[in-house]
Amino acid sequence: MEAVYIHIPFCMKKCNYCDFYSLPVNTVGVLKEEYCAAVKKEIEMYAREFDKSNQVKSIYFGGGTPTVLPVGELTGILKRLYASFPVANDAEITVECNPGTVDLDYFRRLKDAGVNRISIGAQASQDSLLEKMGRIHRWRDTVRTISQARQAGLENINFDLIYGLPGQTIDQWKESLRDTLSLEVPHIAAYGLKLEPDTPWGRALELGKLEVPDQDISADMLEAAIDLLLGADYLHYEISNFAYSGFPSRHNIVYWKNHDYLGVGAAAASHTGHIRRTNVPSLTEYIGALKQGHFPVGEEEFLDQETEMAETIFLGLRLLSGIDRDEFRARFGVNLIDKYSVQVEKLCWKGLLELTPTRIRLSRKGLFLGNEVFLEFLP
Amino acid sequence: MARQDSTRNFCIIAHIDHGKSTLADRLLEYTGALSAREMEQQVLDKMDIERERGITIKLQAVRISYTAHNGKTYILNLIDTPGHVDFNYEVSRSLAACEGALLVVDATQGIEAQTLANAYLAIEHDLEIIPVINKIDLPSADPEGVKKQIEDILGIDADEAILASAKTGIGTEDILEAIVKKIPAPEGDPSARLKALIFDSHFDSYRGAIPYIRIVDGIMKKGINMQMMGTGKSFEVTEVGIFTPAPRSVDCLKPGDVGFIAASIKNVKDTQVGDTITDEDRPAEKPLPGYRKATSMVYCGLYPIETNDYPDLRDALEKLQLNDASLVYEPETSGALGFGFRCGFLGLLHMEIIKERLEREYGLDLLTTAPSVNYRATKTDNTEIYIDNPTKLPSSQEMIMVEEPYVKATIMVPSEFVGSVMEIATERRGSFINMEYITESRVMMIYDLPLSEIIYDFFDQLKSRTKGYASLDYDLSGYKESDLVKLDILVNNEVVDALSCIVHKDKAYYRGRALVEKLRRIIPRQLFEVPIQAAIGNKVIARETVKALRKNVLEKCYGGDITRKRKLLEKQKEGKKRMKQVGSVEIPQEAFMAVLKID
Repeated sequence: MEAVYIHIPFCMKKCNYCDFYSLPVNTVGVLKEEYCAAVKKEIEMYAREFDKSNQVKSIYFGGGTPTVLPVGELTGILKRLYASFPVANDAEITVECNPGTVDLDYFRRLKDAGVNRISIGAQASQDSLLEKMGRIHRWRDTVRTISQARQAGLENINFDLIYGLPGQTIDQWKESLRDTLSLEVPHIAAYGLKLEPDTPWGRALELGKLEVPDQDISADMLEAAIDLLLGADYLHYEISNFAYSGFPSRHNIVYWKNHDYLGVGAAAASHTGHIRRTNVPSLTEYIGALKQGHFPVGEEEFLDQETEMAETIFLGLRLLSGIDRDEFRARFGVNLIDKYSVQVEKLCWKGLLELTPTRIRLSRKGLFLGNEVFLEFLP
Repeated sequence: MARQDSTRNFCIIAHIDHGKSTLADRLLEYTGALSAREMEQQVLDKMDIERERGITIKLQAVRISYTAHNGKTYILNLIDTPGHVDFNYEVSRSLAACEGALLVVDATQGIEAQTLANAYLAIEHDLEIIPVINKIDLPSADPEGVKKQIEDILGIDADEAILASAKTGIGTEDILEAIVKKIPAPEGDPSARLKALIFDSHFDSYRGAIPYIRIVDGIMKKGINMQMMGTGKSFEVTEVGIFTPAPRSVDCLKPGDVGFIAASIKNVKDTQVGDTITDEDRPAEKPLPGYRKATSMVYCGLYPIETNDYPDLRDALEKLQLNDASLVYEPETSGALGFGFRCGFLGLLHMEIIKERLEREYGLDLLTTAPSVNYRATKTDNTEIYIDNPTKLPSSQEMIMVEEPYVKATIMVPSEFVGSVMEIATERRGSFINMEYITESRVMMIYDLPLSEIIYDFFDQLKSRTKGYASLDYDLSGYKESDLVKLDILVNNEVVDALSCIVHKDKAYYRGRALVEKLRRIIPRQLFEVPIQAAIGNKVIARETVKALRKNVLEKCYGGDITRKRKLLEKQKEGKKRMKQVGSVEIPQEAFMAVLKID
């Protein structure tokens, strides 16, 4: 198993755009302790299932906001993982956190337990925007959080930023980027806001009560991010991700290379062999299943070769370095360029794809129009 | 009692939704022709589409046996009529096969335009009309008011109008008694030369085209050589039968009888509705009056979305035509859409039904071009040509004049909407002919209108501006010269022939403007900027631009998202498939119908 993802479905308060499975922590009572126990049990059950010759190279706590839990719960889960799977000495171990849920002591204890990377949901540097989004923190909290993490010795830090927010101007976006640059975090994820229907903002958008910046502004914002971040020595290594040299997220690269990973916790997804499993998105069902010693799987999908190749392509092309054609052939026994010759020719002609002697990747234009490329490879 | 004396042939005429089919069911049920359980709701409306839309498209006939209060048993032949203005000619042919008609009027709605049109048709055919006021069980029923309307508007004595509720069965027996007592027995001489009227037909894959007939004179039996007097074709009769409602063979059909014949007729076109069948060896001198070939009122192009489906579309059209002689089609080629067919229909509803049947019953994905009427151009060499496709219109230098078909439209509305009707009629280039107060509060307005103005969304507009109260009926009235021009649409600097339309010169600028604006909204952004222009000849009269697509990319994609994101991509891909590639531009199907929804 290359990577393990642990889903912590709790937060202080749902943001207006969030469609992850997460519940406000003050509504769940004792279930959160039961949940952590269930996660540990799930880890043990999987440990018996899998061949342990391969080392785990990445562990990632995502949510929700994992840090709404007492730090001991997270470190407890981590210890159970160390005990169950062979974890590499230099494994990347990331915890997502939000300003306002952590302090110096919390970071110190994470660090002591082996955590070496922090991902902070900063989102924007304008308090007015943060408030509209339903965030509980303000920009000064973000700045304080980062200095506490550094004080605790956690240097590998990611910042999540969002563009295309309702009411956000291109100048505000550039300001958020510049404010972030001044903090010199080694990794920045810049996401365009995508509203799902089952969120407060998604519903408001459908009802015509909310306006978001249009496609042109959104494209300008991504252009601005690329220009500013490349100028500040960041590497643009994935459509939405930037990092100093040596700091790209190893965990996420497992996803983009469509390699195997195990997801534990409610609503978490795994990709093992040719199977993708998604756990039930329900706290009680999840806990209940594990109490009875069952895997809490909600959905399971067998991926045939055509589908797996398509997924490997659309995930792999998200990386700016693209797909290594030899690796693809080694994995599927198929030459990518031969198999998809019509698509590749058409997309190169349209200026969306580029071929190098060893790789295939999106062009600069293709980065903005990835879907036009991706869908061509679907079976 | 002789069979002829105990036979009664009748039909039911009504405005749409006034309860015709339910009443027919009730009559069948009452007389035991079918048990309630046997009926799948409404027997007479056989096609799914008919049942969904609540209208009758294909005619049907049923024989009912009824023992009257006088103790005698009668054969009642119920001939159903389609309930839509598109099928007026078919209605007139089924009326011609009857001696009487039940005129069904909704007790809550009163007389509507189609009630009127059909009642007039029945009067023209000298039918005995029995007024039936239906839905009297509803609280808002006003039978006395409706009686007065029937007398004032139609001049039919409504004293003995039957109060009924087809839903609950009230009045069913009264109706059957009235049919027996009031409708005359059919006349006709069994020893005279054979004359049988074709009022419908259907196609049976084993026995070929089956004409539904009414015998006027003579005897139809197995073995005779029959001849179609309109088309001149002859066939040997292999079977004679009646509908009970299931088809059942009989020895012969005599004057007044309604039934079917089988004669290995390969093509439904040889059984034209309204044609007269006679005996080839002893032919009648002249055919029954009233026969005309079905005329197409509306034309459109039908194209498969997948070009590979062209042969399937051709086969499907062939098969549909077997059952529907009023559908005409011929192959055509469009620069934008490739190979397809120009099809002629009786009206817009007929067109929609055919398209729906092709898609549902034959699983085809079709693209329809905007409907057009049959224009007539006189060229400089004085030859006349008919134009059923806008691209065929000669340039103004090549022709002396162009004419368009007009209709006489009868519109009935409550008097407070007279102003709205006048407004719409004027917008649609109508000229006023007459207006009459048929009661204190209901007005009948007659307009001369270009057919092309009616086939678009005229009826929808009429309905919406009269709160749904208006009813409409129309009849082709002839051709009139008009100042018409061809409006071309250029997408990415190329004329898309399938988007061309013929419009009145005074409206060309407005329509061009509206059309390009509409297309700008419908055509999605492409990888490059796409200009959309409207032009008359070489003169561009309107222009819009679809900006280039700048961003279309999954924002994030992590472990938990992959299936969902893949499905999202699949959906985008599906959406693209439904589009038509014209040059290098992907145009959604609805663009080709855009011209319909403007005004």
